[in-house]
Order: sequence, then C-alpha cells, then structure tokens
Amino acid sequence: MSSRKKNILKVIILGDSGVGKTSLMHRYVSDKFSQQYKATIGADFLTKEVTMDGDKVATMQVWDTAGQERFQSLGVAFYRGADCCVLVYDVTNAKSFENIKSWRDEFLVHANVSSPDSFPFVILGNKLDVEESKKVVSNRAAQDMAKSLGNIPLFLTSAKGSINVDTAFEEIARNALQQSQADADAFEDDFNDAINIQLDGEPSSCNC
Amino acid sequence: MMQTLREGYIDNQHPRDKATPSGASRFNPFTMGATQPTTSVNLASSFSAPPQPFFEDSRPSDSSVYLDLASERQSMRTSHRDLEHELLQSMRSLDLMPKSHAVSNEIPSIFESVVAGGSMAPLPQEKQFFILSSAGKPVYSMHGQDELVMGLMGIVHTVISYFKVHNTKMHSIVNSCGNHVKQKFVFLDKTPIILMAMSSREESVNDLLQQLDFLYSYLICTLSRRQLTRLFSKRDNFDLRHFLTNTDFQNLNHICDSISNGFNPDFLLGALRCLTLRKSTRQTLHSIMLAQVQHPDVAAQRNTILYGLIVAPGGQLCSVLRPRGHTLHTTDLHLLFSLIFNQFQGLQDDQELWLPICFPKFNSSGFLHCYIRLLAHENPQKKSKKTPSPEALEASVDAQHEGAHKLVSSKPALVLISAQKESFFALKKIGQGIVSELHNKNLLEQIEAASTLGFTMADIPAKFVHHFIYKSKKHVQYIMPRLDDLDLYNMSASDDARSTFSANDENASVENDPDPINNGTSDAKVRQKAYLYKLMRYYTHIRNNAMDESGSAFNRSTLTFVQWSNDGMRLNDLPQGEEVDTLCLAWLTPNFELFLICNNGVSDRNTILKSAKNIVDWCRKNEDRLFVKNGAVF
Amino acid sequence: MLQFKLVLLGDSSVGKSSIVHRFVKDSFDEFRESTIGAAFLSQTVKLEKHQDVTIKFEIWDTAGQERYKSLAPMYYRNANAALIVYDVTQPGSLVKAQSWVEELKHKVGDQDLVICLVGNKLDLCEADSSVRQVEIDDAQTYAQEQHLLFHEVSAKTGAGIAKIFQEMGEKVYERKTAESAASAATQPRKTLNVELQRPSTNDSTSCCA
Repeated sequence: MSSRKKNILKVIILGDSGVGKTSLMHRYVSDKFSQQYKATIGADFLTKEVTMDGDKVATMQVWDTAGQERFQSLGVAFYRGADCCVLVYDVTNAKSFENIKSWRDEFLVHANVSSPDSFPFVILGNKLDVEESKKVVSNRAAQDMAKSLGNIPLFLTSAKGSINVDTAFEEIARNALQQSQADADAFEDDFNDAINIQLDGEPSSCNC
Repeated sequence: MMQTLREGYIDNQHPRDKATPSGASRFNPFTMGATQPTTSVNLASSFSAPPQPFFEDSRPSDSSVYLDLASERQSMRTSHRDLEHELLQSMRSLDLMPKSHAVSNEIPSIFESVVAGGSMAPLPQEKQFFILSSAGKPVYSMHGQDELVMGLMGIVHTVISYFKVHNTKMHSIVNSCGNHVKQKFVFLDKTPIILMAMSSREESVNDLLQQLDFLYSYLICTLSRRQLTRLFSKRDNFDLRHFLTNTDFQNLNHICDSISNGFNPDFLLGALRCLTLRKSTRQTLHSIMLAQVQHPDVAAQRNTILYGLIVAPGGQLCSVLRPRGHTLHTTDLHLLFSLIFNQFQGLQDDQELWLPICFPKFNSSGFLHCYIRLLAHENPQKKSKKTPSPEALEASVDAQHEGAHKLVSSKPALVLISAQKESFFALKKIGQGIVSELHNKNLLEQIEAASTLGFTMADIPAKFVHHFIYKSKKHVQYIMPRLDDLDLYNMSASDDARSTFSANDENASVENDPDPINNGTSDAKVRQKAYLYKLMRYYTHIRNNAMDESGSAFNRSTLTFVQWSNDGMRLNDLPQGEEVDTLCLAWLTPNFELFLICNNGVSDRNTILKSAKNIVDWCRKNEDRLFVKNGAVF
Repeated sequence: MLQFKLVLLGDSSVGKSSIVHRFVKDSFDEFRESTIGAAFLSQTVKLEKHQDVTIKFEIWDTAGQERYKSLAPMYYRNANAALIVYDVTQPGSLVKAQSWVEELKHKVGDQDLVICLVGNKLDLCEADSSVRQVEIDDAQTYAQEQHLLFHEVSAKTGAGIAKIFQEMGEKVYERKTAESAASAATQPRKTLNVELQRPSTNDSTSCCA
C-alpha cells in the first residue's frame, strides 16, 4: 500500500438495553489510551488504539447505538460500513439471550454487507461476576447458539470484574481487521475508461 | 453608454439583522452600516446584451436552506424539537470558537484574525474542513488532528443521517446567539463521501458549499467519480485513506489553506483570473497554438488534442485553445492550475509531465491526459531580479512556514489536453512547436513581465479606491490591480510607467524594479500575507452583503454600499486601536460584478460612484487586454 | 544520435525521481514531491567503453503509487532499458521491485530489455548501518539469478548514479549493434525500436483499431 495510515475499524455493539454494553466499553477503554465522545443522540462513540498479535496497530471505533430506541430511524444508518458486529446478552436475562439472533438479523438486514455468511460477529455474555444462582443462560446453551449462528466466537465477560474484556475486544479487533482488509488490494485497472470524444466536424465514417 | 447614476438610486441605510461579522462578538464596536441592497434602476439595460458565456457558471445547483436551530421562529415539527435541540447542543459543545487578536495595515482590520508569534498560523477554531466516508470513517481533516476527527465522526454521521432520514433539503446548521452568528456547519452529502465545513467567519452557507464542492472535485479529479463509486460499491467499510497518497493529502492541505488563509478570489467569484496582455500579444499566443493544431500532421488526427492552455503563475489565464463548441469549466481549470502551481514547483524546465486527470465538470467518469511543461525564458539570471507576484510571495511564506524548501515557480505553464492516453508524443510534438514559437517571438518575457506587473490603481481614474475586483460574467473571468505595491512597499510613483497600460508599453523595462522581497524581512512577508487575508475577508463580506445565503443577488442589478465605522467607540476597544471608517461597494449586474474597497476615511459616495463607473468603463474599454475572449478556436 | 528508451519503476518513495535528477541535473532535492502520472526527460551519455559514441536516453520517470500501476505498460512497452529501484531501508520495496521484474519478463521479455536492479538510499546506511534492511548479498544473488544488472547507489550523494547509466548505455548499445549485425544478415532494413512515434493501440477514438 502506498499510504501508511493506520487502519480504522468500525465496530457496532448491539444488544438489549441493560445488558451492559456501555459498561463493557467503559471497562475496555478505562486503563489505556482512549477517547470517548458522548454524542447524546444516536450513538455513543468510542475510539481506542489496539495492538494485535504484537505488531498490528489499528484504531477501533466502537459505535454503541444506545440512543436508538428514541431515534430508531437513525440507528440503522450507523450499521453500514461496519467491520465487525458485537452482540451482547446478559447471562442473568434469558430474553436478552434469545434476542441475540434477532439483533444479528436486524444488523444483516440494514448493514448491507457484501457476504453475510462470512461477516464477523462476536457474541459476549456479560455479567459473569454475578452469583451462580442468578445465571439463567448456561454456557452450553450459549455455545450451541454461537455454533448454530455460524461458529461465532463467544466470550463470557464481566465488565464489573474486568473478566475477559480485553481478550474479547482483541478478538473483535482481529476479526474486524480481517474484514477491513478483505479485497483491499484488488484495485482494478482504472485508466482505461477512455472518454470518447467526437469533435465537431469529425468525419462520421472513415475510408478504410 | 452607461446611464448616469444619481445618489437617489441608492436606498437609505437599514440595519440588517443578518449575520454581523464574527469579529463583533466580543467587542461589538462597529456600527454595521450595511444597506439592504436594492436598485431602483435596471443598470443592465444600459449595456448591450452579452452573447452566450464562454465558460459555464460553476455554481452548484444544490439548494441551500438556511436553518437557524437556535431561533425561536423555526417552523420545524415539534416531534423533532428535542433532537434538533440536542444536535445543536452537541455542535456547541465542540468549543471551536476563536480566541484572537487583530492585525492592521492601511485599510483597517475589522475582522478578528490571528497573528500568533508573527506567523499566520491556521486557526482550527475558526475554520475546519472534514471529509469522511458515508460509513463514518475519516478520510481527511484540514488540521490533521486525527483524534478530534475521530471524535467528531459520530456526531457528523448523526447529523447526516438525520438529514437523510427526514429527507430534508437543508444541509447547514447555524449556531447563533441572537442576531450574531457564531458558527456555521455546512454538510455536503456526496455518498459514498460526506464533506463538512465549519466556519465562524462571514462566509455564507453557499460560499462554504462551494468550497466543499471544490474539495470534492479534487477527490474526483484524482480518482474519478466512477472509480470512487466502484471502490465503495464493493464495500461500505472501505478506508479511502489507503487509496489516497501523500500527494493527495498535501494537495488537500494546500487547497484548504488557500481557501481559508490566502487571497484567492477564484472560489469566491467562481471565475478565472486573467492575465492582462496587450491585444496583439494575446492574439499572437492564440495564433501560435492554432497554427500547431492546424498543421496537416495534427489536423489529420483530429481527436488527438482537445484543449490547449497557456497560464501564468497564480493561475492567470493567457490563452485558450479549444474546439468549436467546447469549453472547459472554471472549476476544472481551478483544479488544474492548483495542481500545476502547487504540485510542480520543482519541475525542471525541460521536464515534461504526462498525467491522467479527471475533470469533474467535464466528465466525472473518465480521465483526460495532460501534457504539462513549464515555460522558462532563456535568461534565468535576469529573472531573479524581478519582483515575485503576490501569489509567489504568499507561497514562499507558506513554504517558510512549513519549513519546506520548495522552489516557487514563477514560470508560466503550457498544458495540452487529450482524451487519448497514448498520445504523449503527439502532444509533445505540438508542444515543441508552440514553445519554439514562443521563444522566437519573445513572448515568454512578455508574459512574465505582465504577470509580474499587471496594472495598478494608477492606471485608472478611480479616485479614493484602494483596490477592486471586476468580474466579467460573460467571460467568467476576473481582474484586479496588482497587490504587491498596495502601501506595503514604498514603491515610487513610476510604477504606472511600467505597467501594461503605460503610454509606451513596448518592451516595458523591468530592470529597475526594486526588490522588496529579498531586501525585506520575513516580517514584511507576514504582514503581506496578513494583509491579503484581510483583503479577502473584506471582499467576502462585501459580496455576501449583496447576496442571500444561497448566493443569489437580491435583485437582477444591485448596488450596495457597506460601511464600517467606529463612531463613539474608544480606540483601545478596537483591534489594533485604529480609527475605522471604511466604505465598500458591491455592484452586480447581469454583465459584471464589481467589488471595491475605498481608502479609509472616505465617505463621499458620489465620488465613489463616479470612480466605480470609471472602473467599469475602463474595464469595458480594455476588454481585449483584460480578458481572454473567444480564445483560439479550431 | 542513437536514442534509447529507459523506464524507471519501483515502489513509491524509493527515490526514482531523485535518481533521474541526479543523473540529468546532478542535483538533489530533499523535499521532492511525489510524481503523479509520469515525467519525461532526456539525457545523453558518452560511452566510455565505445569511444566517440554518444547515446541519448529518453527517460520515463513513472509514479510508484499503486494507483498508477495500470498505466505502467504504456511506459515500459517499447522500452530498451528498465531501472527497477528499491530502498535499501525498506524490505517491502524489494518485494515490489521483484514483482516488477516478473511483470517485465512476462510482458516484455528480457531479450529486448536491459534490466537493472538498483538499491537506493545507501547514504542512510553509511550514517547508521542499523537502518539497512536489505542485505546487499541477498539483492545481488537475486539479480544474478534473474540475469539483471545490479547496483547500490545514493541519489543524495550521487554515489554510483553515473555508473548505472554508463553501464546500461553500454549494454543497450552493444545489443543494438549485435542485433543490427544479425538482422543485416537476414533482414537488412529492420530497425530497432528507437523511433519516437509509438503505435497507437487501445485507442477508443480511432476507427481502424
């Protein structure tokens, strides 16, 4: 590549309200350099430098469509051009788990991704820190779901206890980077679109 | 002949509740004496009707809706009120407002401006340009603060989505306090690209849209619309920064800087600057180009060459070669000239370039191919003694500012354009023919002398006028007196004897030119740049007083006085502590636009009207010298 | 005077234009802007090995950026010599150079083309040997395998620049004289590819294409 600009990865984070999307983001950015912009409408927006596999550096933009219940129509516009989509449920909330699939479908409907089958998703089961008795979504059920949706990587996390958050986001970044670089070098031959110019007075036929 | 103007044609002054200059926010020391522009006589009827314009007007057709979100008078549906309110809150929270001081020269500084540490540093709070993809990935930011841009993407994207979802034609947000406009945010949606401008200056929404359109045109010029669409059609998440090169970012920087901090009426007027040449000289340039394309070898392959241009430094047009019935759009030429005089400064005289350029207004889906060479005259020692043009001077200040050791080209350029990418050698041959004729007839010296000297206020009987710009709408070209001797240097009154309009302009001598640049300190350069910048803001303000936000004149013909004065204000409340009493005039008709700035303290409107009329008469009388009319048509 | 076409290829920012300017003008500009499209220059060389022979190189200095890659065949198609440049401090630029070698061999064939591989920015290694990322032996071995001429140079100091053009000049001149001799036996009137006018192909506006 001729330009040495860092990659920018657009990540959408989706899930029922109350599953802890915002706390996950905050936990993730809290200890390292990051910048957060509270848009107050539409989407919360966060950026963070990530280093993957030791040397690959990228800037991750995480779009949290927190406000989208109020501004539903704006929300879906954010999906386009995403490099990865994170689906979050709450291990203590069965409904939020069941909705994972509809969040995924909703994303695919609006995001206009070129190949839905290979688009990278990551599933996060959050609130791992709560006592066992309150957990209603079994690990087994989660794994089955992740598998049935196309072997989506699954992480059980705790924003509060800072469990697995960094690992999960590193996986998210890695998947997003893969998506963003797909076909990146496949530029076509671009100077052959000759403009056909016929000047006035040009003979309309030739004598050969 | 023009009808005599009487004072009665000018309306009395009305205070306007339109935007006041941004500078008024903190001091508010100036009485805005702008008149509501009207005319009671159709000045146009005094002039003969013009033939069809040679160049098309470059104004984009996008409609612009002026939305004042802060205004209580807004008529938006209440269901969106809280969203709009929050949008505005978000925009306000960006805290990009200027904290500034002022500079002054011989016309007073009425606009706040920054000269920090003696240099004209760009001011992010005052002017910003962003380019992003429709998916919200940043492409470019004028001030290069990537963190700031990344943080802004969310809100910009939200605003654009809002505009789209509500299918509204509006694309600007004006942040105002009472009648005072603090900032304007203007958005141009060219899916898959979104452009945004922020300004806290006196530019209209339409001015900002034009500027965005030019930035967008640069992207198209280097990529073509077709390729841009193709890159994103495969993937919405495409990161365009990876496709653009460092050169592209440098060029975007240069364009933004030129729009924001330079003296560049090209964009404001949507017109080309024309080099003042004697009629016979211009005619000879035309015939030399024409003779080459009419050569039997060339004529046999009629489609080889499309256009030919000879252009002097600063993008001043000397001659155009074109096929009958075809013209090039002003924006396309601005792009081309901007490339030539910014990008190719270090080009060697005997080096020839062959580059693909998409001319967005000509055909945005494909590339034309340009043969470019600089035209050096044969005596390089002599050149170094000449006064650089103001543009060259400005560029040299930039170069110094950036620490780059650029050579500033003050050479004219020859451009030959073809639609055929393999026609380099054919164009090279045509170019050789043109160049050797230019040498034989000593024309390069004349072009160079003309681009250095131009004409001065002393050439025109226009009393009390400090400076003016005259645009001929028919030619879509403008002219103005040279800038470099406007009180900045103590040039002698013999200036006029060396200009194109002196009684004996044959081989005007430039030997005795003072050399203010090499003798001057860098302080003088900074003052020069600050001065040009101030002049530009005056012109922007004058023009926008005669036009509405969408860039249309209030009437078909309009004569507007704008006056700034500081009656009753204490001097130390003023920028630079200067007395301000400045009168400016905008005169718009279907045939021409005239903008003039009077010397400080002049208030005699009758005299100014007479001067304005003299300028118009003079420009019309000297049309052949001042403008490229038909060009060389084949 | 015999004229030969020479094309410079290589990744962006490896110093192609700087090499040309050192050769043509004997000057160096630290802040050179990147080339867009291509620049055309010419320069004569007096061949040391063949006294009284002066040849003229017509040089295409091409843009290294990926975006202009599709234009490259237009410049190398009729070339007699190709200078493929990499930056000794950028290993990626050698990979790029190797892909140019492949492309030229595939599209033009090396029987018609003298190819020289050039590692530029030697001056950086002299100041600090740790910045070198491409070992001279590796590049040299590759060049030998591919039958390329090879030099390491510095456009900034001028080291090695004249030698490249001298050597390429000799090679193209020797090939031409050999070919002329050979063709004189069979096809007396065949000329080598030195005329200015190229055949116009791919030309959408000409009718008999």
